[in-house]
Amino acid sequence: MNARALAIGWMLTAALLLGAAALDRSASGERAGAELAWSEVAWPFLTDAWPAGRAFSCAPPACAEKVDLYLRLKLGFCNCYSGVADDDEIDRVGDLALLGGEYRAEAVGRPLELGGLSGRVRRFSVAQFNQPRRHAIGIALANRCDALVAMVVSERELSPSSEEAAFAFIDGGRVMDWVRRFSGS
Amino acid sequence: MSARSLTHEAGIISRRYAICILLSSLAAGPALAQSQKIGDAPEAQNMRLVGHHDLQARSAYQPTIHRQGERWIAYIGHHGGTDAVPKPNNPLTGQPKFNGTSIVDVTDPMKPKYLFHIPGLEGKYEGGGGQMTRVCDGKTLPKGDVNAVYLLRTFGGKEHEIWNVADPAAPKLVVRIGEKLKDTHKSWWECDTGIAYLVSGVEGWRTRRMTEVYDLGDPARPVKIRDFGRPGQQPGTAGAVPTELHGPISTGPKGNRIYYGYGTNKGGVLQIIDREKLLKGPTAPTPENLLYPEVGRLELLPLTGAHTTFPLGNMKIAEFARDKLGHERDIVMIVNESLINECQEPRQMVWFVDVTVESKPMVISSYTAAEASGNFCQRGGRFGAHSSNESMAPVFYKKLVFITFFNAGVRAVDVRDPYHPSEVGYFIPAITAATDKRCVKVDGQDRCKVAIQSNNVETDERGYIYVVDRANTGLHILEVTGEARAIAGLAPN
Repeated sequence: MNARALAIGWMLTAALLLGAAALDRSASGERAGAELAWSEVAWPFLTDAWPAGRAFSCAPPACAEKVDLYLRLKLGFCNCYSGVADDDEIDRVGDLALLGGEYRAEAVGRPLELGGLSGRVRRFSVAQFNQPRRHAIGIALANRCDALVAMVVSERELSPSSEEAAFAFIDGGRVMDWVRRFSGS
Repeated sequence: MSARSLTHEAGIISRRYAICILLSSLAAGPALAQSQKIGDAPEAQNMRLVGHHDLQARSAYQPTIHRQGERWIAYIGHHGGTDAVPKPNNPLTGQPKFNGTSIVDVTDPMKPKYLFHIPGLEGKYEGGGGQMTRVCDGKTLPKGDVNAVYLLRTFGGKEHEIWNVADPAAPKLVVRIGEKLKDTHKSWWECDTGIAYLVSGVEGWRTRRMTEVYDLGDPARPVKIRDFGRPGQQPGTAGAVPTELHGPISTGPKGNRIYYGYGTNKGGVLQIIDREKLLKGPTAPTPENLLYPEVGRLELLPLTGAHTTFPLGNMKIAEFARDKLGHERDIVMIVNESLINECQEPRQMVWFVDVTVESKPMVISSYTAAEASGNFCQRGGRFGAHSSNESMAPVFYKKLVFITFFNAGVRAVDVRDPYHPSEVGYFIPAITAATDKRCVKVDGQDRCKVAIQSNNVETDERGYIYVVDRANTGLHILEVTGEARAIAGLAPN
């Protein structure tokens, strides 16, 4: 290999590395931007058996519609071995009852993996006396014997982009650092 | 005052101070012990170690002590193995086997003799083993083999099994009950009628644990009577799932009550069931049919569960002796289960409930081991209640109960006045090289400590107390001494 070819090779490698770094910066920038779309608000629910969770809100235009996200860690509440194996487990460990009224599943749930945690997600509608019907996505993920449960709630039909935004936020460092810091024993 | 007398005075003060410190230290007892170390002596008050067996370093759950002729046999259920030792060695055979049931001859409690190990389901921790044991003689069951002794046990979370343990050193499998269950747990078996309340998770039901009622009067031919759970747990329902069952205790046909405990460390419920209505009522799992046998229900503060619901029955309350009405009360003791290491949850403890008016049960008193007496939140592992003895033999019944408190060992509680229960003794076993570590997450990293984890306890008619350890330290056989012994009415030792 002559010196010219070697120099071209080095230049190409450097260009590739610079490009990859730029892409990475762009991706992490996007993630950071996506995370910034969510504002933390006070946990709005009354005291119950579990410690209070964290509540976030995302409003248009960052999200397609106004969306509220409620997250809770429930230490020791998950089946350590089968995890969140079926839709009933979402009802068993989840927090949808906090919304009040009656909630009904709108479809069969599906598996979901976020931040390396496996579980299930399912769409619900929530009817409450004298209130407009709300739409919710119930999420339950297992971190060994601990459960991370989440609700994505909106007064409008939840658009796929809002669902994706919520998933991306849960998947991101802001939530997952918190999850890993306090659960997984 | 002269310089000499000042020095003398100072010397006296100093000696008094030293004595005070010594006395405070003695009074504080285990308070000085921050964590257990191998070689440390057990900590005890009014309880004494009689014998010990390591149970092949298997994590232990339910001990059942059964008299077989002139022998006393302990049947001890186990959780699955650990990450480090998933399949412990059985020295009797030289073969590694998955944790199941230990059978130990405790006729001489000073020298417990390991007779046999029945392997359980493959799996680690709560994912394997065979945690539960109940034992009935064939001669007391309606259609049992009069020469047989039957062990009802769980096979992991998947099945229930009955073994003939007439020869406890050579058990024989009689039958397996259920298949592909979601989970099993703390069942109850009436040895006079054969009716069993099996804690199972049946396919279709929305909970991991509910009840399968079986007639095991002829253990070789189980007959299912019905499924039972709380409305909202049955197939076809929607919405939040009511707290899952932990276990029932039946008073049989004479008492006609079954006390159900739901929840471990959250959402606890005591449910009082009319046994006849449960057995003879309509069995289709509709909300109406599931509520039909319920005569009372107490929803606890949701910060606690209901692991064991032990009926103390009708008790004369000394303080109420001159009252025209209500001087006798029906009492149930509820024991919560601590689930999370190092106090990362609300305190799980013991609650006494007056169920005299069954439709309106009320908590009247409580008991917990004092955390500060041993700095238990810092010792490692779980601290808090787990279970009580369930024997109703006269030696301790309505006088003393024994409660396992994980790293605070076993506690002896005087319940003669259930409105004012008081601790009269405790025993915290020493750890050994076999004692397994317990970890918590601190800033995302595991921080582990080693501590005794006294898990379950049972008593026998002779007055011995059998405590088993969840962290693999084995079986400790104890007796009460001093004030606790006097309360039981046992001869001084």
